[in-house]
Amino acid sequence: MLSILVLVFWCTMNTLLVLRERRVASLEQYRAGVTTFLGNAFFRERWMSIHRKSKYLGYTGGTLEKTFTTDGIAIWQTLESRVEIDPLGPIEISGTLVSDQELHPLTLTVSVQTNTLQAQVTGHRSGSKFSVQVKNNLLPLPTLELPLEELLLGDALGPSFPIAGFKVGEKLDVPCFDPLTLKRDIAQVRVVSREVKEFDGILVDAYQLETAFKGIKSRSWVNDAGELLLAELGPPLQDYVLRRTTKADIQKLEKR
Amino acid sequence: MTPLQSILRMRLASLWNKALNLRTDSLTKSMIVVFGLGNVIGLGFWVSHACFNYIESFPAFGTALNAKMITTLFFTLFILVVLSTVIVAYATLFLARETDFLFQHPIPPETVLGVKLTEAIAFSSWATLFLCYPVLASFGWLRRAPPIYYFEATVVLMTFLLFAGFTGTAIVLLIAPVVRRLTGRQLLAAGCLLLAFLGWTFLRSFDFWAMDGEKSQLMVLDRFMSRISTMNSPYFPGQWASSAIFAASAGQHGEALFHCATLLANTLIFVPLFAAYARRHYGAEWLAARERPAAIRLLNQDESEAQGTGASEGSRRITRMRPQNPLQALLLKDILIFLRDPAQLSQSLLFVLLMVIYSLSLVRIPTFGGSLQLVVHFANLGAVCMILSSFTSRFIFPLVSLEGRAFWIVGMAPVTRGYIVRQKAFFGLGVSLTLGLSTIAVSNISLQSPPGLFLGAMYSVLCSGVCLTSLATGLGAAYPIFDEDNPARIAVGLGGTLNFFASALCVGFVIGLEALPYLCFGQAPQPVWIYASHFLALAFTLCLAAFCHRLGSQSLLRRDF
Repeated sequence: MLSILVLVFWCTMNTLLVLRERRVASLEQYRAGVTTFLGNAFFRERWMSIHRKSKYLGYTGGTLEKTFTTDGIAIWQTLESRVEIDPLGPIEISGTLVSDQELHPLTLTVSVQTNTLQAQVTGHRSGSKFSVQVKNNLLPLPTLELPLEELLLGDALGPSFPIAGFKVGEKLDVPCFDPLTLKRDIAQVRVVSREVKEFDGILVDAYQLETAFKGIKSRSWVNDAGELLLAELGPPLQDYVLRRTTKADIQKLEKR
Repeated sequence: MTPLQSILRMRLASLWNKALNLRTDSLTKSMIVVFGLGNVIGLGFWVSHACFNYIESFPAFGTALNAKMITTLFFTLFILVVLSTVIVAYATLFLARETDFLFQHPIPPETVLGVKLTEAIAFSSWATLFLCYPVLASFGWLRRAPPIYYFEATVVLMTFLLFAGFTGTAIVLLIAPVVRRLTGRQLLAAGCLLLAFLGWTFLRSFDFWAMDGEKSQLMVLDRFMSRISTMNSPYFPGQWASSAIFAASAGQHGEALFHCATLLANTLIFVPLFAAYARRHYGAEWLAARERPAAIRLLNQDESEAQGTGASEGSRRITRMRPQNPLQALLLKDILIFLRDPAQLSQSLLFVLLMVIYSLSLVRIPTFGGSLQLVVHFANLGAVCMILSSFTSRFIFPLVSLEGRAFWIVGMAPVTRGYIVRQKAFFGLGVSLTLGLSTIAVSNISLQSPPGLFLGAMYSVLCSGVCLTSLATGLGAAYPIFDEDNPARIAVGLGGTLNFFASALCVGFVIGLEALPYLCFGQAPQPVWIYASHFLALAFTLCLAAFCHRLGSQSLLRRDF
């Protein structure tokens, strides 16, 4: 009797394991990348300081967290960004995007503030669509009806992908909500090469990525674990460089 | 009362009697062991926490590297515990005297297998549990894990060790009939092939050859941790264990439970399989193994079978030798006994393999300069001395005990008891210095150490070798276990554990003395300070050797047989 129980237990656990791995293997590129990025960590954060010709201009960053709720798995993506861009002046963005395990958005809350614009963006599921309402001080905007698909929350300078497990030559199209233009657009990523990159005096194996979003092309370097080490923006934001840092270092830079 | 209850009662009674027989001297010994164990746990926690903290401080790199280190830890544990169980389980299940005793009673074979299996796994993994738990605890501390993490980590580690132990036992049960059918020479060739294959796989997997020219040690370490694909497979038990640890440290208990349950399910499945094996085959296999133990065949093959060549020739040559003096006679006897014991022979081969792999793994290590060169030099010295310390604890310490109840024969020989202790020490010294000096020479050539450091390392290993052998023979003679025929059990007894801690302390002291001039006066101390440290190390070695010899001799002299 005990042997049968053990056998049933063994079959159950191994079947669950195989099913789980099959599900991960069958994921689309972006979801598989996010799953690899989170790995066993459940919580990842990424903070980048923004510089132009060695001058500190601000920061951008956020967290990605996998939580287990009674309704299933939820992925929380938070964003916090503050940067001065010519000629727009200071831009402050903060927000949270909650997605289900398919990475389809459940809720969205974003607050945007520039010299001229003050906007509150909220989003929620509405049938097979994702409705986004924008309240701002300039002009009334109609509700955006986005398709229910994977969605990434971008920042003032474009999206940074919470992805790991790249392969050279790989191409990726990721739908992204741009809080500055308050629109959804597709970000295209291409893995150009794998190279040894010096970062803060340490040599690291990194992938070089080329990203195109809203006409701006950028180059970035990401390590095996998906950590964004460095990003260089192209025209019209040339000379803008994003360097990987920590939240504590950003606080020090902000105090100066 | 069931047979299992009877055996458990017998074990408890034996433990109780041992506790009652604790004399002042044994109590002191127990206290030292407990103190030593506490220190090892504390030191393990502190060192691993410092390492994790250091690596975590590297931006964009450290967190992932620490996670890889935990995965590598489980991978290494799996290999070590499986290998260790393979050796211990074969001797315990098929060759031990107590197994004969249990089979003489009306006890079902599955009970015998269960009891002996528990014993084998406990012996092969208890040290691993004590050494690895502090590492996992320090990882939890680093990640600010909730208090329940420490309980979850204990469960995961114990389940994992049990899984590795069961896997090792399953390998033994599968290969035992095949091994028995091989001739001595075939067995030796198969063993060498297997060791060569394992060594090649290890080196190939980590791809040391591709690391030429890399100047970043962290990158080398990262690549080192990422190369083995088995380690990262979601179907590898080490991956389940490490995933459970990561989930528990992040407070995701449901996820931790899933991985731990997967590990447990794959561990428990061995139980009905072993029970079925025991009912159908164990008795017959035990009988067959007793008829012609492989290692005995290795040395005592039939005249017709051996055809005058190979190991049997060597064995005959040893037995026919006419020793010129008592030292030679006792040495020949010890060599013969050692070669006749399959457990001793196979484990010593594993040690040699470990030393070869260690030396080879340094071949492509980048050349270091400045203070880092000194750090690597002393770390290498420490590693070689610790391997040597394990060797003396495992093989030299049990030498006196292995004389067994027949010690009275040696005791009646026309030599003093001190002479016997000296003879064991010289025998051990010959083997340990050969291994230690060759390993330190190869590793220093690989590290391209300058002549001064090279000679200093050779000198340190010489001193450490003498200290370790003296401790092992002295304490082995002072705390012998004549009733035990399994050297692995003798080595992990109270005296063996005491010897292990004393050896670790001694190695630390000798290396500390040798490193003192560099610690006090920087990278290039004046030669006089280096000579002074050499002199102090020599003085310590001679004092310790004299003390251990006296301790062992007097203890044997006071003993009745």
